[in-house]
Amino acid sequence: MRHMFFKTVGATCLTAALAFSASIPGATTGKVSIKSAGALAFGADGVLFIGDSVGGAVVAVDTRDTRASAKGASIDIKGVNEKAAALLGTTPDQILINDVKVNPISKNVYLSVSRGKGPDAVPVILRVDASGKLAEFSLDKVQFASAPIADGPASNPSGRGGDPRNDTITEIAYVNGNVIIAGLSNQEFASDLRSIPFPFKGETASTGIKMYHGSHGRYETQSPVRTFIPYMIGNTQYVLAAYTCTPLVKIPVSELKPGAKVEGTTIAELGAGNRPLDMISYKKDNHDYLLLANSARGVMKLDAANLEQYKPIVAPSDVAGIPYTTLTDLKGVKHLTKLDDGNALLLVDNGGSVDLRAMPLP
Amino acid sequence: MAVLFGTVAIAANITLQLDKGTFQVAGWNATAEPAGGWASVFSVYAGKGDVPALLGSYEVENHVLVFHPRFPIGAGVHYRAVFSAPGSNAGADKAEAEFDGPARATNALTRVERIYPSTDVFPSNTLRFYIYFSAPMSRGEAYQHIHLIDADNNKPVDIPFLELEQELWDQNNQRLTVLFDPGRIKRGLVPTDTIGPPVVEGKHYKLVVDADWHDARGVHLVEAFEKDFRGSPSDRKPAEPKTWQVTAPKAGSTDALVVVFPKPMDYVLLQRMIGIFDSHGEIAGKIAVDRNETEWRFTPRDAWKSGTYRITADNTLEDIAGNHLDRPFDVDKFETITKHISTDTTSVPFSVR
Repeated sequence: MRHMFFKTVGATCLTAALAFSASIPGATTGKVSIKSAGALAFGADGVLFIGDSVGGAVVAVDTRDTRASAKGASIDIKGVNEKAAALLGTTPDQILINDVKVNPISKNVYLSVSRGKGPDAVPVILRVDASGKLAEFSLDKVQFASAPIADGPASNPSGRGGDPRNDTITEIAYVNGNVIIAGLSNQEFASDLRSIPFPFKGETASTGIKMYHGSHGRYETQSPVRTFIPYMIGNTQYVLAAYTCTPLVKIPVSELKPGAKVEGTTIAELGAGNRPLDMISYKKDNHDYLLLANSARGVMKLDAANLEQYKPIVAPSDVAGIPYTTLTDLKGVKHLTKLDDGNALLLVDNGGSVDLRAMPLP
Repeated sequence: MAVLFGTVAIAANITLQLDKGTFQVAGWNATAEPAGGWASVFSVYAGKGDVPALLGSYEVENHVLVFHPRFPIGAGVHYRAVFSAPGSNAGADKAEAEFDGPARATNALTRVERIYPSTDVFPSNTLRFYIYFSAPMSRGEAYQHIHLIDADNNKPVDIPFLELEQELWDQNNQRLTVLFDPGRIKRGLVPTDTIGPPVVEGKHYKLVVDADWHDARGVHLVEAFEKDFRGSPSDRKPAEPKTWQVTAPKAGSTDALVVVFPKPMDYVLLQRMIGIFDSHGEIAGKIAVDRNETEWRFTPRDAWKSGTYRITADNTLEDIAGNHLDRPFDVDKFETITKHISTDTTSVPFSVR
């Protein structure tokens, strides 16, 4: 992630110096019609990727939010769901905050929100600026491009088909010119990972990458990836990924080719009943760490120094793998993202009231 | 929508009104927009305490300042409109008024209609189930309301499901897909080895859906729902089409072709992963699934003709334990049970006479 970040900043300075050219070649200007706003990710030059699971697409939006800032705001918004409800004219129980991401250039915070919880819920993108003010990031007049992730409804003369499968996007990241999308289907289990070159070309849904999980060299499952981050190990670009069946694995990005069969290498087992929600990587005192928000085990800090040295876990009795500590004082963390080089941003549910707050990286 | 008037504060002749979904400043002559924008004189708040002003746009209609909220007036929302004329001090040119949106619905109408698998015997590695509701539901609270109870000791099973923030609904929020924790099903993983599968062979369970789950109108269900089942041995055999029993219909009839599987298959996948083909292509007809998802029937639109047909199924068709037609859910690479078939589909021919 840190490598990506430096690349991003470099590219931005260059763009800013050269011209105010469009960040999304071939983009349309106008109103973005999305049916839902879920997973978010930032690319280069302030491009925001929005996962629209209901609409079956990923939409790239030029935020034009490219004024560089090294430091994020000291964010501490109590009841951010109540504030979002007031802004959108509904009650707090009708607000869902689906994802939180920080623009790595401006350090402004973007939230994907549903106004309403039923099938007619309205997707909204909100933004928290440097003063900590919550406002709408309007999608009414922006430059955008979209890529379908689901195959269109099959034209089927027989009338069979039941209802179409929904692919729920659980994570998006921009890595070396590709948008990598993890999803989970509401029907068959073996969902694909997708890697779509950006800028998007054409309208065809990309071919998926068949993700397998091999447990201890013996049992092999076609298994969906739930969350992941780009990560450099040595000179090789990897993604660190968590499957739905828990283990943390590393996968070289060079293997993520359409139609490929890919199996991750297990580097940590995170324990029973535990589900990784979000991950970030960072450097502190010249040492590499990972921070992982989990459903059952709070937030874990993992030592990521020399990640290449840990041998793969190949037996249940193996105690190898990344050493970690659990930050016991952090409870109810639903989303975790990097705010700036010194701080993380947390979305914390305190039993109904949801807070958005910055925290120094541990 | 109900006409919504709440308490209306009156300062001088200025009244704040909520009319046809817009907030208006009546009795004040709106001319040029002030330097700070219309929001500097008139704002509406839809929450208590330090909250941002309601999103919307301003318009002057016949010298009346009108605020159009970005979203329709919300049920159960309390609004506070605040007006302060440019340059005014306390007193005459200020007004504040409160309004209530329409009352929220309170009448429970929605129920759980059914759960698949419909069988009352679940292999201990059962992968998923589907809950069908009679009307659209709310997202975001599913896992608080679904419980697996060990009926032998009446205690809840600890974290049996894959609790996803992104709940797996169909397009209309009427069918929820719930996965048992794959980490507890798949062999060789720490969760499977330490806490074991959520469903244990020989034990009795209740799948309970609470009544206080909210539908899309924000109202709880009519009643709770329970499904009893018993755990059976895990099933790691692919559901190979060679084990299917096919009963061919008679030529000239529109009788159903009947396919019987040796075990229950995934109800939703059965609706779209099997097709009937003749030499010209796929033929039209209706699919029905019965007998705890062990029977698949196809009734053609047009009468059967004499000849050869084929049943073609996607190899990704799963049984209720996630085994495909050509591979088990988790392949044991040391004791390979089945050969991998490299095609995407498997066909079974049948003749109509």
